[in-house]
Amino acid sequence: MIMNPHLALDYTRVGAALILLYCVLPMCARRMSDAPLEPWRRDIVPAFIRACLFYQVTAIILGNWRLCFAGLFAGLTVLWLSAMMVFASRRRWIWEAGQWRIRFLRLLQWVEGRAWRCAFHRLQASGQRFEWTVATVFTVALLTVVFLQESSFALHNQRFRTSMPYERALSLETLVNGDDWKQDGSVALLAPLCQLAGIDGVTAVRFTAPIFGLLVAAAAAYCAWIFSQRFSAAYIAAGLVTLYSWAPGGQGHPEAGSAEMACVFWILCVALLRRSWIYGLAAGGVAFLTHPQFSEQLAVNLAIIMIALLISAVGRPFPRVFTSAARPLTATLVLAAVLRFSPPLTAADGPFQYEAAARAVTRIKAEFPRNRWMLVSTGQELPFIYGRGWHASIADFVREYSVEEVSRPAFRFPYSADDILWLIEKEPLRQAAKGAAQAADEYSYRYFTQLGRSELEFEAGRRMAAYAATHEDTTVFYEDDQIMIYRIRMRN
Amino acid sequence: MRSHIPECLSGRPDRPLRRPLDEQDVAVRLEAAGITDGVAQTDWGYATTWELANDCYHSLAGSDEPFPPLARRSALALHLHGMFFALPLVLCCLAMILLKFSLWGGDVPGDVAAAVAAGTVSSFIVTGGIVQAMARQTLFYSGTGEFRMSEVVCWRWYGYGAVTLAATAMLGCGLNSLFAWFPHPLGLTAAGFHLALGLFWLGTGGLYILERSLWVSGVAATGILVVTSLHLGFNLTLVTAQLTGILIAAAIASVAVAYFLRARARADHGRVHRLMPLRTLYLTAPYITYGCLYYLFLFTDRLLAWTAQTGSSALPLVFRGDYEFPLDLALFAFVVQVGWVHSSTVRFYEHLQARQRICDIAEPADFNRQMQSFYAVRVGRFLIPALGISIAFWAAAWTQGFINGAAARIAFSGLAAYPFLVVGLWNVSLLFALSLPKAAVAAIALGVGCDLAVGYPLSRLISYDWAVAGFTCGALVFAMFSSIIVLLRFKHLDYFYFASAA
Repeated sequence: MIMNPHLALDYTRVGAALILLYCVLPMCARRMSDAPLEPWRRDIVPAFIRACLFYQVTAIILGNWRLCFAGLFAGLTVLWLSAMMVFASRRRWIWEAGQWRIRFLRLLQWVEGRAWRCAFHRLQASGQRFEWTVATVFTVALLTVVFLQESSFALHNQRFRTSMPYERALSLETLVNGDDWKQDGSVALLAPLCQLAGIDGVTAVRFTAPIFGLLVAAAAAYCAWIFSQRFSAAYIAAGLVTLYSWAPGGQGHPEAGSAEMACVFWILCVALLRRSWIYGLAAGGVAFLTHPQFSEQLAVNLAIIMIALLISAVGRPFPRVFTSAARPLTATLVLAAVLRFSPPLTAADGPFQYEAAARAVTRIKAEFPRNRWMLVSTGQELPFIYGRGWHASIADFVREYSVEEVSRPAFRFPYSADDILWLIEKEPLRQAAKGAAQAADEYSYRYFTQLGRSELEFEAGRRMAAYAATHEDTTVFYEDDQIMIYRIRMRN
Repeated sequence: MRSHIPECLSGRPDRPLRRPLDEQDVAVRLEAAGITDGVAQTDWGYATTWELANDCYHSLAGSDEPFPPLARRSALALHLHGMFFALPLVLCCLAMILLKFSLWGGDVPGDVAAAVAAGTVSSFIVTGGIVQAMARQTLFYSGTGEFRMSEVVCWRWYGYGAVTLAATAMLGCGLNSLFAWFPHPLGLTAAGFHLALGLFWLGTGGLYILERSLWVSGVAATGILVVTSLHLGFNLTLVTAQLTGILIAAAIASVAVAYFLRARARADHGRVHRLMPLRTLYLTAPYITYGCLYYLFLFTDRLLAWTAQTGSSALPLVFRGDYEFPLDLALFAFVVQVGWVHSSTVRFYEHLQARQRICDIAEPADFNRQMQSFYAVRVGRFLIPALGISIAFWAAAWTQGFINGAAARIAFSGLAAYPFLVVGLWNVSLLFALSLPKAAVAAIALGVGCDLAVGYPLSRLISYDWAVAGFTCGALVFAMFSSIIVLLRFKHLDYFYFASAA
C-alpha cells in the first residue's frame, strides 16, 4: 500500500509540535533568563520533564472541571512560560522597566546587526564538534530503522490494531471538547497537541505511540549514560531495549499505551534522581500520573540498562576488542532482529474496523461542514468524528426503526443534521468470538461476536435498502466490496 | 555690532512670543538659537551669552508686555467637535438601520457573518498600533514645521501597515489551514475583510491625523453608497459589494491623504533625512503596543462571547447578533460621551496656560496642586452626568422594548463601561501629551488582563453573554489605573510638561 501523504504531513506536524511544545519552548523560556545555565544539550531532558509535568497536571485539573479549552490552555501555557522566564532570573526584571528596554534594544540590535547569522553558524559549529564514531553511526542507524518500522503501520493505515488507541483517542477528544472525562494521565499528556497545535485526537494518539516507542530507547540510553558517563553504555542500552521491543512477546507494537509511555518517565526518573532530585521527582510524578502500576516492560527495561552498564564496565579494560567487535556485532544483530520481526505494512483488515471505513470517515470529516452532519455506525468511528460531527449507534438505529416504518414514503428521520450518513458493512468484519456464549453483554454480542455483528449489519442494510427504495434524497456516498455508506440529504 | 534684541526673543504675528520665565529661560532660548558665547561677543559685544540673556530679560520684563487674551471656545462647540470624530460610526449605524447592511456586516448567513467579524476585528487590532505610531511621528514632524519629513513618515507608516496587513493575512490563512477554523471560502472572506478594512483604517487614520474628520465621514458615506449601488443596483452579493466598497473608500482616503500631505509639504524646503526602521520601531513601540492593546480591549469581550459554548456549532467562532445588538445600541451613548475627551484636552491646555501665568515660577507645587484639582473636578463633573446619560439610554431602550432579558443586561453593562472608557481615553491623551506612553500601555494592558480574567470564566461557566462583565470590569480598571498614574504624574506636572517639550 502506498503511503498516504496526508498521514505523512500529519506525522510531521505531530513531531514538530512535540519538539516545539515539549522541548524548544520550555528550553528557550528558561534560557532567556540572566541566570548562568549549563550547556543547552544538558537542558533537553529537564525541559522535557518540566513541560510534561505542567501539561499533564494542567490538563488533568482543567479536564476534571470540564474546562480544558484551547484558549484557557494557551493562556496558562503563556503564563507558565513567562513565569519560568522571570523566576529563572537572578533579578526579577519583570518589575524593572529599564531591563525591559535594554532587552528590547538588544533584540533589535540582534536583528539589525544580523547577529542571527552568527547563531546559525554557532549551531552548525556545535554540530561539527560532535564526534561521529562507528558506534554512533550504528546506533543512529538502528534507531532510525526502528523508528521507521514503528511508524510504518501508522503511516500506511488510519485504523488501529488494538482497542486501546480507540479508547484513548475518544478520551482525548472528550477531554479537549470539555465533556465529561474519565481521568487518564497518559491522555492528559497529549492535550497540548490538540489544543495548541490543532491536531485531532486520533492523529495525536496514532503518531505519538511510535514516537514514545523511540523515546523508551532514548531514555534507556540517557539513563545508562548518566550512570556511567560512557557512550558505549548508552549505545548498548538503546540497542538492547530496541531488541527487546521487537522480540516476540516484548513491549513493542506500534500502538504503545500508557504503560509504555510511563516507562519513558520511570527510566528518566531513575536517571534524573542522580542529577537533580527535583527533576527526578518530577519525572516520577509524570510517570505515576501516566500509569501508576509497575509494569513488566519497566522491569525488563531497567534490567536491560543494568546489563548495558555491566557490559560497558566489563569491556572497558579491552577497548580495542570492544570497539572492533562488540559494537558492530550488537548493531548487526539488532538490525537483523528488527528486520526479522518487523510487522507487515498492510495487515489484514480489522479486527475492530475496516481500513476503508476509517479512510471514508476521515474523508467525511474533512469534506462536510462542522457539526452539520451525522454518522450512524459502530462505535469505532466515534473517536474519528468527535467534535466535528454527530454520531449515532447503528444498534440503536436497528432497534428503533423497523423495515416497514422506514419504507413508508412519508417517513423522515428525526435528526436535525443537514446530512446523515449510514456506514454499513456489506461483509461483516471478522470477529474472533463466534456467538452469544462468548459475549459478556449485549454490546459485546452486537459488535464483537461474528453472529451478533452479522445480524446487526444485515438488519441495518435491510432498513437502508428499504428507505433508499422509497426516498429520492438517498445516494451512495462510498461503496466497495466490504462497506457501503449511504448519504441522506435532509436539507437541499 | 548688533544692538536689537535677538530674533528668537521677538514674537511673530503667527507665533507670539512666550514671555520668558527668568534669565535662565532667556539663556536657554538664546543657546537653542545658536547664540554661543562667541556669537554673543562678536555680534552683540557681550562677554558671554549669560550677560546678553540678563540684559535681554530685563529689557523684556521692563516692557511689561501684556499677555494676549486666551481664545476660549464654548464647551458645546468643543464637545460637538469631539463627537464629530465618531460621525462615520453613526453613519454606519444609520445605514444598518435603514438598509440592513453597512460598509461591513449586514444580513448575511451566520458563517459568513463570523468570517466578516473575524476579519474586521483582526484588521482593527493589526492597524490600531500602526495608526498610533503614524500619528505620533507625523504630528511630531508637523509640530516642528518639517512638513516634507511629515509626509515621508506618514507614507512610510502607511507602507509598513500595508505590509503588516498582507503578512498577517497570509499568516492567518496558514493558521486557518492548520487549525481549520473556517472552511473554504470563508477563510478567504475573512482575509479579504482583514486586508480591505485594514487599508481603510490606514487611509482614514491619515485623514484624522490631518484633522479632516469631515473627509472621513465623506469617505465612509461614499463607501456605503458604492456598496448600496453594487448590491441593490447590480445584484452583486453583499460580501463582494462590501469588499469593493471598502477598497474604493480606502483608495479615496489614501488619495486624499496624499493630496493634503503634498499640499502642506510644498511650502517646506527642509531636507528629508534618513530614517532607521529599527530605531523608529524602538521609539514608537509603546504607541504601537498601546494601539493594538486598545483595540484588543474593545473586542476581547466580543471574541470571548463569540467563541464560548461553540462545541455543537458549525464554526468555532459564532457571530452572535443578540450579543452585538445591545452593545451597538450602547455605542450611541458612547458617541455622545466621547466628545468630552476633545473638549477636556482643550480645556486642560487652556487651564494650564492660565495657571502658568498666575503661578509663581518659584512655587511649582502650587501650580501642580491646582492642575491636580482641575483634573479631579473635571473627571468628577464628567462621570456623574455621563452615567446619567447611560442610564437614560438604557431606560429609553428598555421601555421602548428594544432590549429585554439578556440583551438588557448586556446593554446595561456596556453603558456602565463606556463612561469609564472615556475617562481612560482622556487619561491616555494626557499621558501621550506628556510623552509618557508606557504608563498608558500599562493601564490598557491591565484593562485587557482584567477583561480576560473576568470575562473568560463567566462566559464559559455561566453563559456567553456574561463576557460583557469582563468589558465593564476592564474599563473600570483601565480608568482607575490610568487616573492614578495621571494624578501621580501631576504631582510633578511642571517637570513632565517641560520634559515633554524637549
